[in-house]
Amino acid sequence: MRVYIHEKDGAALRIPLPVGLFFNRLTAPLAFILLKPYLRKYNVSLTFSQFCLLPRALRKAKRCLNGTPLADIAEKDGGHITVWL
Amino acid sequence: MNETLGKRIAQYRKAQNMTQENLAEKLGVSSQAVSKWETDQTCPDILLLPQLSGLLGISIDTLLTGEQSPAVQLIPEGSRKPLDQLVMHIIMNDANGDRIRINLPMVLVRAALEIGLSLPQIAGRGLEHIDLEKVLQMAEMGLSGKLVEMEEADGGRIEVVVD
Repeated sequence: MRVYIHEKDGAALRIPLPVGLFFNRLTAPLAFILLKPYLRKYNVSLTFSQFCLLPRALRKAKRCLNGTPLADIAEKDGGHITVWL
Repeated sequence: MNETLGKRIAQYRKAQNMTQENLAEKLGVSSQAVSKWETDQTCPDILLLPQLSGLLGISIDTLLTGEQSPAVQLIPEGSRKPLDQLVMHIIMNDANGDRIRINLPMVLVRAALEIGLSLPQIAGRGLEHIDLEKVLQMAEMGLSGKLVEMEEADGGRIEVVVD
C-alpha cells in the first residue's frame, strides 16, 4: 500500500506501507494481537480466522484495481491524499 | 457530446476539478502529454485507459465513444463479469467543496461483510444509510451502473457506482 499526501502549500509526502509484512503467516498472529484494542474501540467483532481472509482479499483487490487508487481525496483548499493498494 | 477523444478528456477532467498537472501526476505521465491528448495531437496509451477513465469518473466506453451508458443496466448472465472483477466506486462531493473518491473492489466488500464491517467503517461518514449487503446482492444479480444516489440536506452528494 502507498499513501501520497500533497499539502496545499506544495509539500508532498509519500508513505509506503508494506501490507505484506503484516499479513504473512508469521506476522499475522502478532498483527492481530496489536489490532485487538482498535477492534474493541470501533466495536468490530473480528476473529483471527476472519482476519486471515483479508490477505487473499487484498491481493485480489490489488489485481482488480490495476493501478487505480483505492481512495482519492481532494480538499477544497488544495490538499490531496491518494491511497493505492 | 464532444466529438473528439481529446475534447472529452478535457471536459471530464474539468468536471473533476483537476488540472492537466494533477491528471498527469496521477497517471505518471508529463503534463505536456496530457496537453497533447486534449488537443488531439496524440492519444493516450491503451494501457492507461482503465486508470484514465477511473480518474475521470466515466467508463472506458464513454471515454472512447462519447456515448453515455444508461445509469443502471442489467447485464445478461453470459456477459457478466465475475464479482471479483467488479469495483464499487463511492463518489462523495461535500457541500464544503471536498471531493472523495473510493474505489472498493467487490472482493474487498465481500470480505468486509463477512467480517461484519459496515460501509461507514470502511469508507467514512455519511454512508450509514447505504446497505452494503443490498449493493452486493444487486451486483451479484448483474446490475451495473449508478446503484445509489443521495443528496444530503447541506448540498452534499453521494453516488455509488458498480462496474
